[in-house]
Amino acid sequence: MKKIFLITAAIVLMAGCMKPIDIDIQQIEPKVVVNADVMADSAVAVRLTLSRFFLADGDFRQIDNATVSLAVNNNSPLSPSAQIGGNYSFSYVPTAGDTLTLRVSAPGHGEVKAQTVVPMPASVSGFKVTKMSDDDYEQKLQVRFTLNDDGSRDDYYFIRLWQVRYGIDTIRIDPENYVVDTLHFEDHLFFDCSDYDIVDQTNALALIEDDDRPYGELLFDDATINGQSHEVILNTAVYSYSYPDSDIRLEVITLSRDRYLYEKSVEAGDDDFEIFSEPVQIHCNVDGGIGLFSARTVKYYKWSLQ
Amino acid sequence: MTKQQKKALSLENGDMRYARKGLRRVCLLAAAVMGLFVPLRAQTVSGTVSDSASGETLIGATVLETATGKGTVTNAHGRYTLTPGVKMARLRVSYIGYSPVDTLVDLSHNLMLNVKLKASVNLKEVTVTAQRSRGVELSQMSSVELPVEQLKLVPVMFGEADILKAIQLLPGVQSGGEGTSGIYVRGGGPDENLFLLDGVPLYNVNHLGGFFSAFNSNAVKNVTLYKGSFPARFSGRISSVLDITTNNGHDQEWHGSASIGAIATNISVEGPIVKEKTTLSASFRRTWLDLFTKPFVWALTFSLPGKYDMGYYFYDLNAKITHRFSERSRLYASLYTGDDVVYAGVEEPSQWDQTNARVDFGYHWGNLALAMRWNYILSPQLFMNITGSFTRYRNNLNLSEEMSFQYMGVMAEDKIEAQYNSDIRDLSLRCDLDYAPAPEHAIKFGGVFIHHIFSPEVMGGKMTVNDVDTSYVEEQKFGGNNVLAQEMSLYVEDDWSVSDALKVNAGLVLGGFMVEGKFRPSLQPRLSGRLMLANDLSLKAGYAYMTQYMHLLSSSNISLPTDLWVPVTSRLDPMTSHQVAAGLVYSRWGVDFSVEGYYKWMNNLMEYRPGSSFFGVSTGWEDKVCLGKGRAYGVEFLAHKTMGKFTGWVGYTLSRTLRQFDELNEGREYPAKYDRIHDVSVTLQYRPSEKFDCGVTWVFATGNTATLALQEYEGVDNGDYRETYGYFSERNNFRLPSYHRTDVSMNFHKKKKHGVRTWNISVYNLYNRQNPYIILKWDANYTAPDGNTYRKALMQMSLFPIIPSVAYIYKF
Repeated sequence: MKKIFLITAAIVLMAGCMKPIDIDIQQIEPKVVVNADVMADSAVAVRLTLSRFFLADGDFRQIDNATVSLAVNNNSPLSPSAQIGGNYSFSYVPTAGDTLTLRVSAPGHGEVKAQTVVPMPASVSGFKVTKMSDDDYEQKLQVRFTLNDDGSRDDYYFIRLWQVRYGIDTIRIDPENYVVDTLHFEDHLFFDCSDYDIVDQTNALALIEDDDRPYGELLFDDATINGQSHEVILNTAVYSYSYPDSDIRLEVITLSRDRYLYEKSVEAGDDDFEIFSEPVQIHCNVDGGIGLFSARTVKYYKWSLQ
Repeated sequence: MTKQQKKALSLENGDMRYARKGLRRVCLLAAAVMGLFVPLRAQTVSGTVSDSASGETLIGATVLETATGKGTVTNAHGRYTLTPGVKMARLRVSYIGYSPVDTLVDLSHNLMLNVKLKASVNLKEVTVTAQRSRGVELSQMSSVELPVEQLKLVPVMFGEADILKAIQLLPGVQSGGEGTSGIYVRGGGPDENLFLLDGVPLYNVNHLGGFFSAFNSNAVKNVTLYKGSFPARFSGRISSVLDITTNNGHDQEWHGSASIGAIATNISVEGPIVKEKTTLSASFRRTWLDLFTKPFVWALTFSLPGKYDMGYYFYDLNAKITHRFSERSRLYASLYTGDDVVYAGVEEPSQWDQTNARVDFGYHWGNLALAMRWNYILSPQLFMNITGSFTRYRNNLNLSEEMSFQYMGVMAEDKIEAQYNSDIRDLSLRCDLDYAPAPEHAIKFGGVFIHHIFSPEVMGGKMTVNDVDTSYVEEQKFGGNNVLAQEMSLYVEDDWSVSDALKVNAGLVLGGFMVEGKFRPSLQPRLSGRLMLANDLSLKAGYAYMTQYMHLLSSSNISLPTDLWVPVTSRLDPMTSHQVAAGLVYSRWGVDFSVEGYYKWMNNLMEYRPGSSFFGVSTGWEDKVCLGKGRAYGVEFLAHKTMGKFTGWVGYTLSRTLRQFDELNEGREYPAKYDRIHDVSVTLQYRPSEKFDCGVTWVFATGNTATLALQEYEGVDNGDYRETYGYFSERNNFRLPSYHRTDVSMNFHKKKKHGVRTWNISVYNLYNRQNPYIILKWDANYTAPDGNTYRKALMQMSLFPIIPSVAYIYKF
């Protein structure tokens, strides 16, 4: 099939002509890019870079001379406790419910501002994993839990499953060094979910994509389950022949609204048929700049495979 | 007077001979109820105007009583009715390209007068008469009637005269750009145009990505475009109506033509099956692009293993049979069918244990339209036309991959098939009546009922596996639920001559649409008027409210035949538009000059949501679209000359087209893709003799808009990497380079023993302008205007360079 398209494209290209289009680059001012994904109970880190002309190559220029401040719940702004290049760290550890306001002044650019609210943790009950079948090849598992949604606020959920293996010597590659990791190794588990109250049906491309388990994560808001206790059922499988000493880990993450919109926009833009798709602007919430200042609160639930 | 005219006069009708009392009473009652009843005060002359040689009825011919200045024009069936209010009437019947006929008639009682006009052999005969120009005279505004003979002189590509391409040269009408389909009228989308072929709507009127239209010019008799101030008899679309009437066929002898162009063959025949009773007109056209591409495919693939095949062609067939039962009764049966077909296939030889593999791809789309029409003259003042029709537009995409191989000595076969289908079918019945109760009134009224069957997206897949250890068939289907809908409308309009200076066309449409158990009514007022400021100068103004009950789901990136026609549903409201327009028409030296300003508001326009496309259709189109608003405004200038050796027009449009969707562009208003601020077209034809004619066209338009991320930025930390994203300040933030080109053509005619042969030489895009088709980010060294050099460039791809072509046409 690919060959047919390539030949068709070649014929079209032969028939047509190509030439560069001049762009008035002077009109395109680089913008301050703010990226910070705050986690409840973890210190706040902010990364500042500059956007670049879309034809340019190379790394993004980090902003290492900006004035950055963080105000918590409209109190006096805090200054970063450390800075390396464009990475600014604060010693403050936010908790769920905090409203964080970030201000950045970079030389040559106007002030940019962003705000986020650290979401309240999800209320989960009835977490249970059941072995549905067990053979030499794989174990089929059913993960069940109940989300007790708070009807007084808008919630945005992000759910993932992992298989965490212990006692395995392996090598993790980080950008600079090879590091021997003897603690654990995490496998991202795919799963089936036919709960159409929470599943985004437009993402079901099982027919086109050769993938038996199309969901690597669930992202949804509480529009259909607001204020309800809603049981979620995920069906997954792990290989039987290896790693008997491992856990199934469920992550139930609540996201700030901007993070949710960001994830939705990334999902919408991730289209294999891009030429036919409507353009997607990745969600930003930085006034006067680009980027995302968002927050999340994570809750973990574990079940031992043994 | 000719024999035919005398014969027609001898058919002078007695008052009651043609009356059908019951129906007439109903019609008069309807007119009275609607407050439009005007008592009969004078006798009426009525009949048809036709070509003296072929018997072809002439649409838009003028019938004028010269003493009183009262006049009318023939309708779509060549029929006229005039009550001039005098006992002895001096009638002048005229039509562009024909010698006018003057006659004195006695109107002491009703008279049927069929007039046959003789085509002007000597061009000098076609002179500008003292009568008012039609453009100045008519109450209708925002409409253009283009003589087909003039359209055929517009420079053509590959020898194929094209009506839609000529229409795109008019002010207020834009093409989607090179290689894209659709026309855009006064800021409307490509789905907002009603294309009527003999009164039957067609849904996709493009071949070859919009390069050729579905209308074979050899089959066409008359073309009228309405851009605003729509008469009430038209409804169902919010931006334009293109009303096309096909030939009835010669009623005396057989004629025809055959042409061979660079890419297509065209054959037309017309003639009497029974002389002066039953005629046939048929045209067939087919391209042979698929033959052309074969050498290219071979050249590209001969070094590769396997066999490759691919091609494209389109064809269309128009056929029409007309039967005249009597002077007052005619029956028409017409057929249009046309398809575009793309196919490709690869057969690969053995590789390792694989013994055979084949991939096939097929895609075709097209229209079918069948219609039966019956004209009946109920009385000299009352004319009826009943039309029953079936029309269908479909597109089908098929893909299959077949593999057979040997494994451990056993033959295994796998096959994967996928289909994507979409179609819309309409069954319709309409009744139109023309009623001329008094010299000052020309009333049209009637009703339409359409049963729509939508199958907007049906996607299926089938996997057949016959392996060594397993064998199964898996089949999946998405969509496939037909949506049934009924559309209906009742209309009435009156072209009322309030005084010599003031003429008003007022109308009302009562429409409705039933879908999913919900009825959506609409009341659509229409009003246009003309005020004569001088004998050759008129002021016109109009207002139209339009409702459209169906949408075309079209990607903003690319227009394809896969664009889906969908109805309004219980969740999605109908599109509506309000349009006001005002302008001046001035006629001098045989040229109609017009300037018109318009402002249009549109509601419930439909777009795909960000990231959506017509692929991935598992949950239906309603989830993938959003509704929004639009507005368009502009000024159009047109100078149009239809008579003499030099003909043509010069048009200029200054306009803006904007959209606002809550779910797009953060709710902010943005320019539409086809927001072209300036649009200029110059079309000139010169016909010094019967042996030679030539034409030249120049078009210029501001470039389309596109959404282009001109900046990139680093995304959030995903654990071990940071994605790079594009950033655009707003939707359609980038404007493509402007579009312009010149086409020229020359025709050399020579009389032969059995007919006339013509050599057509044409050059498309004479100065080889590289107009943008699509833009791509490409690996190429690029030095920007600021002197910086980049390893990537924004490239535009053009489709059509200079293309000379020759065509041979023989008419007999």
